[in-house]
Amino acid sequence: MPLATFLGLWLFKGNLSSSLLLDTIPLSDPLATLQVLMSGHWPELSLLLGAVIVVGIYALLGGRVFCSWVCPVNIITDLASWTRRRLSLPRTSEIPQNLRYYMLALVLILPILTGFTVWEWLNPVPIVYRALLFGAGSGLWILAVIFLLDTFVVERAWCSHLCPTGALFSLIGKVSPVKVAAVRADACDNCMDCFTVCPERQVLKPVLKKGSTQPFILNSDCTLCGRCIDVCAPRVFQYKNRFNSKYSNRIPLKVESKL
Amino acid sequence: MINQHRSASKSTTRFGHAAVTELGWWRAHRFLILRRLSQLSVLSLFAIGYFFRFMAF
Ligand code: SF4
Ligand code: SF4
Repeated sequence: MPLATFLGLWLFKGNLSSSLLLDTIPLSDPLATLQVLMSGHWPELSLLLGAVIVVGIYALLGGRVFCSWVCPVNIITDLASWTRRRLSLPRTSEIPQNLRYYMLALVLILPILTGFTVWEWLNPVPIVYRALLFGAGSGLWILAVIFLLDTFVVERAWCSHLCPTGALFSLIGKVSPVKVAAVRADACDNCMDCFTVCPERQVLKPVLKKGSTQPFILNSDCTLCGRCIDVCAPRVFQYKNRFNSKYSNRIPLKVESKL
Repeated sequence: MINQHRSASKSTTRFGHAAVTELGWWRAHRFLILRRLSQLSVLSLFAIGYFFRFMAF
């Protein structure tokens, strides 16, 4: 056996939509798989199995862990937010956060009407992979549009408002035990740094507002990126298991929060 | 020590400066760096997979 195949055995084969780990374990993008199902084609067993495995992994680790720890588009949208912060661009008007669920519905309805997995041609997540792995530049304009949209039109437009993949992983994350918890919420000094850096700032309100007794950020829109942990000088946040009862009760917060 | 960061005035210092002063550079950037490493590792695992597939077949 050539060395290359031997080494290749240890690695992923395929792409983020569908791949083989160690040549045996199938992994597939649950959204792509759902689209295949909706298009009326019965997918290969390995695709179905791969989707089930991936859903299981993220149900355990936290749904949107995919967004902040795996998805390559996140690097682009983070760059856009960073650019916004560096240029001190003003807050933009809000568009509804739940738009992404309508996008998800649309992405799943389109295959019923057309018989094709339409979204896979536009989905920026596999486009990054195609571009980097095959040098296929055909979809790169979508990435440029996303960067410009996020930077100059609506802040965090793509990942926090529109992306159907993020929406699906958010739904998967509803059952996850891993959450960020405001374990030292009483030490919060209202500097608002977490609020500035968080891509889904609405999820922070319930744990920091006055009178709050809930330390866990239960809203599954939280990407578990840990930015709030990094940015907080009084060490308010930590990753925690939400079924650990030690943290599930706390005295109501007395601080007057600006959130 | 806990209140040390309060002295850093928000308007005169860079964003996130309080955390760097209080926690040190690594702890104030820990998850950012780890996330980027994770994202790039997944990307390179796929890239290497492709590379070897072309080599082997
Ligand atoms: S919201 Fe979509 S594009 Fe953004 S990180 Fe998540 S999956 Fe990737
Ligand atoms: S709450 Fe914290 S971990 Fe969750 S998305 Fe916001 S910054 Fe990231």
